[in-house]
Amino acid sequence: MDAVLTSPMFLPAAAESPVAAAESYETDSTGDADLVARCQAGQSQAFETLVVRYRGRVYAMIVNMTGNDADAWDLSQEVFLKAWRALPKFEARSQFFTWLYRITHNVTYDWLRKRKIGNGMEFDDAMGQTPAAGAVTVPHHEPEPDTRLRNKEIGGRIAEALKELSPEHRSVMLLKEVEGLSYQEIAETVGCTLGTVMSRLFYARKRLQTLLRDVYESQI
Amino acid sequence: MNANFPHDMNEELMTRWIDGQLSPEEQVSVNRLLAGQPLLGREKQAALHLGGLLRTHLPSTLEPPSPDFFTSRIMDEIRASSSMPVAKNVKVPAGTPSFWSWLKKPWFAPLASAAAVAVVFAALNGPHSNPSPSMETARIYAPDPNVVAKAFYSDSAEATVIDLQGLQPVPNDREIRAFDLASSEPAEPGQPQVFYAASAPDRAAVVLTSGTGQAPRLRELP
Repeated sequence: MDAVLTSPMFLPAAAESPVAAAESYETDSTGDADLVARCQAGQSQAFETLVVRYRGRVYAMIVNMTGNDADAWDLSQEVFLKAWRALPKFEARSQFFTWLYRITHNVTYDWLRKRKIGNGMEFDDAMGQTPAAGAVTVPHHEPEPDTRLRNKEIGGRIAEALKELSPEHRSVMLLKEVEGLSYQEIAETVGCTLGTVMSRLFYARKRLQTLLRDVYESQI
Repeated sequence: MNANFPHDMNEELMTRWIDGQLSPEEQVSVNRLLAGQPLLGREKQAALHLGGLLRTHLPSTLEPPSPDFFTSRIMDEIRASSSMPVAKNVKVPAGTPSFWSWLKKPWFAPLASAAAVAVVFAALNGPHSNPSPSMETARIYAPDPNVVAKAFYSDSAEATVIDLQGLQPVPNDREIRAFDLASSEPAEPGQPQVFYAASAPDRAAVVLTSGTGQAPRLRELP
């Protein structure tokens, strides 16, 4: 670029665009099933509502899985683009967010496998860092400085401990404990049996308890 | 768990016991198996505490940086490929640099800043022509959905054009700053504003118009 302009704020035109008008009937309360049906009818505006609704959960899941904020942004983009392409095949036998989580899991798992960091085979400097600038945890609150420092230390320990788990165990643990999914929803998300979900949970907990025992025992 | 569980309890049963997912009959059976083993009760509490620790320190929701740009980039990809979800050619081009690699480039920060404040610039490449699609080099994020932002390089003007449509005229009291821009003429209502390159002060680098919706026309340059 020869020149790139920066400038203070200027005022938007008042006229309502066709896009804005088309979106006006889609509100935050519009159900996923309705939005999915509209997407399948070719209304991309409905998909935008779904992106806004779930981008935070998808991004958080990928950050937790990879510990890598920078790649999480691009991977989250890939998740939604894959979801858009796959929407014609979505038959609503599962909830949209479970289906979206499955895509998230697959995209993340493929990335981890390529990076070979899932089993600690390769150290990644980005692992365990705090969220990228601009990323905002919801809900947001400001603890005291010493508490923030302690939380940062614990967050780092947790990230390091999660890195010790295989991607399979890590995803099941996160989906259960952080996302609050049921065994059935986890099984649908990661594509395994209920028994496998429970078995992975058992061993993931066992491993994390060993790695983080001093952390949680200090808080009991 | 680090405590030894009874052999009659398999991993599935223990997991459901920890999560409180046992049926009443199973609960009675497990209570009988675990009777007199307080260590196992503490292990269950430790497992539950571990879950609480993860929920406290790992976000279940985390807005990505530049969330509006995040969404608009996805929608741009979709709309650029097809309006129908059945489209099979919707994909991120292999050569597209990542958002984070953009951040490492020196020109990205002012570009993002320019987009973030939703400035409308229509810069022109000649006295009579509109930019052809083949000249378009990038779509730029604009937080206001009423604003359409594009950038392209004009060979004839030897300048990068940032074309932002949909905003009201830029107030005169606003300062315009940019890389490689040394000076500009005062903005006049309804007239484009010319910015000259610092490295080549005899030529226009960017021309700003008021976004009136009409095809932009470049006035005669000095």
